[in-house]
Amino acid sequence: MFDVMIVGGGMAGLMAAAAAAGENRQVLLVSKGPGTLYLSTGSIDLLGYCQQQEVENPWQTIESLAGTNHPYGMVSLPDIQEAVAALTGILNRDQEYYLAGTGNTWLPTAIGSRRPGYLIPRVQMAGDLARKEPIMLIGWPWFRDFFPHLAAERLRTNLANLGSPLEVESYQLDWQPGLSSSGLTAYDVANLLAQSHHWQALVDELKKVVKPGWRLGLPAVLGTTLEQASRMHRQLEHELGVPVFEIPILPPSLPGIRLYNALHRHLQRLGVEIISGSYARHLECREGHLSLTVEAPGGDLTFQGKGVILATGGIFSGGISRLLEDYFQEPITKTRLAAPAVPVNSQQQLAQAGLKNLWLAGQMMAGYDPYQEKSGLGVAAVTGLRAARLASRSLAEGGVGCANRR
Amino acid sequence: MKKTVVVIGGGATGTGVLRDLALRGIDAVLVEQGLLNHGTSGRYHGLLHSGARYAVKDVHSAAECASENALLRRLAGDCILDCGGYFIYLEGDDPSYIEPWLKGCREAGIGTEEVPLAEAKKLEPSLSRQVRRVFAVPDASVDGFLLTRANVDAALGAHPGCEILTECKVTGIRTNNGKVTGVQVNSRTRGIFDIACEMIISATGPWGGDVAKLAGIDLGLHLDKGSLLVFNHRFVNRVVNRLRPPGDGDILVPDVTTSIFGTTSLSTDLPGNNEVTKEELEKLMRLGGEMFHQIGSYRVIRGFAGVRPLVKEEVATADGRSVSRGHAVLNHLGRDGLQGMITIIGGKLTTYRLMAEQTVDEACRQLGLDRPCRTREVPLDSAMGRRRRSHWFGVPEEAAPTLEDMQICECEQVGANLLLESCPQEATSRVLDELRQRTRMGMGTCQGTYCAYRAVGLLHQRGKISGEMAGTALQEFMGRRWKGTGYACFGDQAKEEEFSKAIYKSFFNLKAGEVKPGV
Repeated sequence: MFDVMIVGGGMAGLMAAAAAAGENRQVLLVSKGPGTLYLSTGSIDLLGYCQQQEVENPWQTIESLAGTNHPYGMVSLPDIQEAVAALTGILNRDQEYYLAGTGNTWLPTAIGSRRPGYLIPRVQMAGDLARKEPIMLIGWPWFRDFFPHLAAERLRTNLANLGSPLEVESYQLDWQPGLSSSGLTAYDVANLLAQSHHWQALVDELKKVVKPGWRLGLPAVLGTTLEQASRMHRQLEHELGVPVFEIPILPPSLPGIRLYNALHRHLQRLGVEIISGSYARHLECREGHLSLTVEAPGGDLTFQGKGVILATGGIFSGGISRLLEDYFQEPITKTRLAAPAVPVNSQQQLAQAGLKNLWLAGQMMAGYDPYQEKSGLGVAAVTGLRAARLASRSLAEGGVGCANRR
Repeated sequence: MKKTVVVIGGGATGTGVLRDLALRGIDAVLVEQGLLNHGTSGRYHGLLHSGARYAVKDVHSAAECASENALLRRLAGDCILDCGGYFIYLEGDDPSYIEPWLKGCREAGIGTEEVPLAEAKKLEPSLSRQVRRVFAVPDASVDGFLLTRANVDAALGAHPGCEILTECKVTGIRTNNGKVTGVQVNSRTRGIFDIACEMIISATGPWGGDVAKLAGIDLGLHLDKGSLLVFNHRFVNRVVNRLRPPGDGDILVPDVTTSIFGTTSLSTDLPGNNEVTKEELEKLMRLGGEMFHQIGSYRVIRGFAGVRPLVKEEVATADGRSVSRGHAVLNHLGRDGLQGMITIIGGKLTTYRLMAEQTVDEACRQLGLDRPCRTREVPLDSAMGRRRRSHWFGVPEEAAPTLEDMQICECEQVGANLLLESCPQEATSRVLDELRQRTRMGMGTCQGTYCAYRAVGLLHQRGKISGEMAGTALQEFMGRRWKGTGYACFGDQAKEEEFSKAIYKSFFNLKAGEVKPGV
């Protein structure tokens, strides 16, 4: 019998599992895979836009959402700050891999637009567009997932439109790690760079183009873990004598993979039981507790628990299905929905009658648009942690049992 | 600019007319409001009819299809994949249709052969369990984008007096004393100007009424919209037709890596109506399920619709020859008292060459030129068709993509070299759609999510487009991809669509501030 069973291996589910396990609860995490973290930029955004306006200080704007239907609106500011601090603590356990400015940091994208983020991987931080050093973007002519000239030209235009005098240049480097490099992904390049002769060849070529006083931007290919990326990044900055930053590129996105790996490893350390590659199919109330049926590679498994947190994401992650008949459904509880999001009450429980001891977290929740406002990982972390706290408190208050809530 | 003939419309018929004119040595310019295949020619099944579909209702049309089908296979084989076709009779459909159908096929000269049920099911395992009889017919799949392009290339190559203007809309028709003297056009790149001519040929399909109106002529067209669905894989090897009177949702055509199922029939007032309604989607899925038992579990990657122009009246040309039933050559001198204008209307892609021949015959008669049609003899070459077809269906060494060639579109295996070769000299922000038509880039399962970014990066790197145009091209192209994927947005495709939008709108933050919700 688990205390809390969590469905979903993205930011919300991982944070919920970390928080519940941190309170010494018996935790089961069921996921079909690494969730959308593998596709993320690796930056943790809290709130980048509000009502189409760029947000400079997310904390102030989040405070103004209090009492609204926005997921942030149902959480107190100290609780949001605590969640972000908890996430930072997990990520920076060994080293300062993630940094935060006073407000949002604006970074260049691979097509030369700007994107906001709050908690930024240290290896991306020198891309901060508020810094003064001119930028040189570097790529390789054979690499189809990053085009430095395009990114540089569009970035120059975008910055000029904002009145920024920042200089941006680009350079195609004469470095080729193999006879046939044209099909390589970022992941392949990272693995090649783990071999010292490829690494040295890249460093040698970079040394030829580096200019004192400038900073270098590279596609994100420096390693598959936070440690590896940090080590390679430090070494590059040391050998080149200039700041270096990574730009996230088309998935598989290494910054996202590193983030997932770090959180996953933390859960393993906490002793969370993790069932991956499996689909939660059905949840029901049986003999006074919750029974979760999971379709695993070897056949169906059933787990019993006192509480369940659903953090299965939006349409892309399969947390919400869109049916031919033009309505939506949460497929585990079979909740029919009018829109691709689940309405929840202020306690992150189904707004309509449903199971007691069931909480929701992350992108499946109604009340916000993570793509538009750039708040996806922030809301996921905050509501994931809060769902775990709510579940834990309910268990402490003896709220065991699974009657339907009316 | 001065030409003997202005051809309006860059679909199969218009480009067929241009090539026919070129082969007869007549100066002409083709004017198209969008890109080639802007209208119905870019929005159909991709079916080269055997004619069997019309064998009962209209044996004359059936015979026309049969002979044109044979001719095109011989002359334009680069653009055609001879996959063959089945007509399937399902339990519950009217059995008394079979005999008259077989008789109609015989009369129209269409070869049919009954296939033993067990063999048909082995060759086409996705067929419904309700199939009782199966007949093979000489249907084929044809790449309409390639065919149109091949016609244009052939025309430009055959006669130096021929040219084409795309993204150029006809805004006025100049007349003097009941005689056409030219057209006024508005080009996206060159602005407004006049083209002097002696003859206008309007091959504008559903826009025929709008063009005729510029000359004060009422065409009395009836517009009928048909919607189609694209499935994410080629789950049949042959065209599969339902053996019953032609109706909605009864043809599936394997189209390279995908399969296209359709159609529907709804009256519309708008020639550019390419919206697929929820009702049409549900109806097509239901009818598809009757022919292929597992169709509900296949992914629909997009929906699209084309508008058929139907002629209300049965019209005769000036000399009294009765026109064929599938299409009509409208001579506006005899019909409306305007000299120098012909409208070709109706028909189907399979008979486009015949339609062009009849139209240009009529034009020559009016121009007093005695130049016989040559499109019955001269082969229509498509190097791109040959290269792509051999690449997909039986790869000879020289056509296979090399390891050195950067694969830009992995779904359709389009390499950087092919894209660069295919890139038009004067690229506009429609450049990605141009390349899609020429190479199939972005037409596969991910619908441009990966290749659109890579393609603009490549084109920019090679100096084909500016950074600003790269951004606009991306937005325009993905906007059109999402329009079609939005019509089929359920099940797994809903996930794919959200992924695609997340990449461009969130990950790349392409033009923040205009970002719409994920669904």
